[in-house]
Amino acid sequence: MKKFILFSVIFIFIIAACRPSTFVISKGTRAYYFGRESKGLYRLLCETGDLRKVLRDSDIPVYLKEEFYRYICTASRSEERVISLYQFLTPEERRSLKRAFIKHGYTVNYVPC
Amino acid sequence: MNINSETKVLCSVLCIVLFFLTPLYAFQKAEDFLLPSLQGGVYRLSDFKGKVVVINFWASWCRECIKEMPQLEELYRRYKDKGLVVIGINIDRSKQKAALMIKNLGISYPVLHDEKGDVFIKKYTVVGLPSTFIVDKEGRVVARLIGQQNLNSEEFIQTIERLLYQDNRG
Repeated sequence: MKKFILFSVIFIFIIAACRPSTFVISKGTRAYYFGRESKGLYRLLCETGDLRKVLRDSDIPVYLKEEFYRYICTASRSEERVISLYQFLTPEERRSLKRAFIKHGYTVNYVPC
Repeated sequence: MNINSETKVLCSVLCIVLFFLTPLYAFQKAEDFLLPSLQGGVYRLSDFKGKVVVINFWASWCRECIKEMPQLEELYRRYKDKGLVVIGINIDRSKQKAALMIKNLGISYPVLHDEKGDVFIKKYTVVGLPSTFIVDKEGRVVARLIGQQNLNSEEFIQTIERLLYQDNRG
């Protein structure tokens, strides 16, 4: 049975780790994938107004900032759309977004897959 | 070979998980779009109903995308007279770099420009680059391939030929 549990854990980890993603942001003791549909991330980014500030300070097109806000902080929340938006960003825009998070006290750890 | 019950349970669980991981997009109707081409003119997906369409999303900053494009060109030249349409969709902010790139690579299939991401984000919700969608003659997405593919592989060619030579009764 131990073998089964170990194998399942490894399998789930591989599936989870290899799904397309964005990057990890953390503040304090909490860390989340940017865009993940979770209450904790909603509180951290939306209720505090942090996402507005981060987007304001990032050098990405205005219409994309609005879309990020829409798919992270409104009823239209969608993890898949946030990943798609992130994939749509140029490398410069991605760097700018991460820099803006850092400016506002976040730690950014890119998790490549 | 001796297969114990633990292995059987393990295999069953994996099969169930893999079943649910099957791409959800497969066999959904392909969303129609209208986009300008980098080579001139505009293209609408629905204009190609009755043909097999390979839609490839790419960007100039994506090296894997550039590596795939000569293979797509080869595929297009080989099967265009048999009813295959290849459409590239570029997501660069400006057209110039992408237009120069397709010229240098000798790309003859239509490459469209999705400047605002309406097709990339809202209609196809692409989650990785490059991404390739295969649409059958009935306008259904039959495959969604994320990441660089070997488009010369026997498996891929067989899939394209099967779709090209099947009749339209679905």
